[in-house]
Amino acid sequence: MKIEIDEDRCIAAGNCVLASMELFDQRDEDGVAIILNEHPEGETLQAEARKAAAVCPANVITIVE
Amino acid sequence: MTDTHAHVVVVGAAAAGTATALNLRRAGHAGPITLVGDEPVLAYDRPPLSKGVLLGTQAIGEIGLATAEQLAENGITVLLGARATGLDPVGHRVLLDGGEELAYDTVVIATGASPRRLPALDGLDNVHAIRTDRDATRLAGALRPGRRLGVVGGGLIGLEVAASARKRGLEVTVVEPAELPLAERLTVPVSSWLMDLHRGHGVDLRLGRTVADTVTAGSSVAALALSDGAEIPVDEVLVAVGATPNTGWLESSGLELGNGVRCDEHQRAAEDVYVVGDVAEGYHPVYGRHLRMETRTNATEGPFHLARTLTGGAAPYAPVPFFWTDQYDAKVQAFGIARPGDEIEFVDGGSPEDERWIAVCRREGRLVAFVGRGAGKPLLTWRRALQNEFEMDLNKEVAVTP
Repeated sequence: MKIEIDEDRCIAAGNCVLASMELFDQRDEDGVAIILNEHPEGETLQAEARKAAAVCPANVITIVE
Repeated sequence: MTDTHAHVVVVGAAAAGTATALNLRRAGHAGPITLVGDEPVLAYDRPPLSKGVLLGTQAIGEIGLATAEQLAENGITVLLGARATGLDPVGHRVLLDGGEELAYDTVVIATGASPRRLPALDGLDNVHAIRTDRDATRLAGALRPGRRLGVVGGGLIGLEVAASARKRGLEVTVVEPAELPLAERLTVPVSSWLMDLHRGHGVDLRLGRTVADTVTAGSSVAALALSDGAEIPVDEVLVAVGATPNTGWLESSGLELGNGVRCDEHQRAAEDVYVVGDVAEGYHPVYGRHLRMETRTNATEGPFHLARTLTGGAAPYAPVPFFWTDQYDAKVQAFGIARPGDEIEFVDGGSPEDERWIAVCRREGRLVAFVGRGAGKPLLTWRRALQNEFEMDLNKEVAVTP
C-alpha cells in the first residue's frame, strides 16, 4: 500500500490526523497534511489509512493498494 | 438486524451517494449495490466549482470523485441520467422517471439540494446559478475581464464567486439583505473582516439591500434595481441565495419532510430508509435538534458513518460541523456552530487583521465553536477540545437513557 496526498488541494481540516496520528501530521505553518509513513504495513494501520482517505473532505488522499 | 446480502439502492449519485456506495463495499457489504443519479455524469467535487474552476486553475476533468472502473470493480451498478420520481417504503420500491421500478431491501436517499431561484430573474439569458459542472463552465465562460457581474446573495458561494471574478478582472457588485452577512456562522468580528477584505479588493458591497426589480433588455438583465432606489448596470448576474433540499419526489412517500428528509441520529428516516448529505435533516444528539448540514464534510462523514451503521455499527452520527471557504488568498475554516451571544476570544491576543488567527466561541464557559484563518496545526488542538465537549455530551445522554 502507498499513501499519496495532493498537497495543493489539501484544505487542512485535520481529518486524516484524527484518523491516524501514526500516519499523518500537519505542517505547523499552514496545516497542510504530511504523510509520516507512506507505506503502512499491517491490517490496523492500513485500515486507518483507508479511513483517512474516506473522511478527507477535500478528497485529496489516495490509497494505492 | 444487519443483512450484508441486502440489495442497497442509493438514490443520488453525487458526492454523498457515491461515497455511500463505495464505503458500504469497503465496510464489507456483500449484496448488490445500485447507484441512481439524475446528472448525466459520475460524481465530482463541487467546492472547486466556485473557486479553482472559475479561476481556471482546476479543470472539470480533474475534480471527479470516482471512475466507472472503480465503481465496476466494487460491483456497484450505476444508472446515470435517471431521475427518481417516487418512493414506496412499504413495497420497498423506488420509482424512476421512465416508469421503471427498482426493488430494494435498503434505500439510501442522497438527492442533495438545488439552488434557490428568484422568480424575477428566472429564465433570463445572462442569469447564472452555480451547482453543477455545467453551471460552472457556463459561468466561467461569462467571467471576462472588464465585464460587470452582479452577485445576488452575499453568502459563502456568492462571496467566493465575487472573489474569483475580481481576480479575473471583472467589476463586481454584491447585493445582500443582511447588514453583516455570515455573522451567524463566522461571528461578527470575522464577518466584519471579511467584508473589509472584499471592499479592499474593490467589490462594491450593497448590504442591507435587496433586488426590488430588474431592468431587462430583450431576454437579458441590463440592470438590478435595488430596494434603496439604486440601479446597478450588469452584464452578468449570479443568483446565490441558498439551496433547497431535493425532496419533491418524496412528497407522497409518507416520510417526514421538514427542511430536508427528517431522520434520527442513526440517519434513519423509516424502516430500511436512510438519508445522507445535503438532503438529510438529521437529529444531532449533541445539539438536541434536527440539523441540515449543507457542507462538503457532511457529504463525506455521513456516508462513512452510514456504511458502518449498515454493516453492524451502533454509534450515533454526531459530527462536529465543519466548513471552509477560500476568499482571495485567505482560507477560513469554521468548526462547531457559533451563535449570536457567544463570548468570542481571539487566541493569543490575535485579531482578524493578522495573517493567522483563531477566534474561539464559548457559551456559558463551554467551547462551542471556533473559526480560524491560516491557522495551521493549532486548529487541531481546538478541534480535539471541541470533540471532547461533544463526547462528554454524548456520554451524558447515554447515562440518563435507561
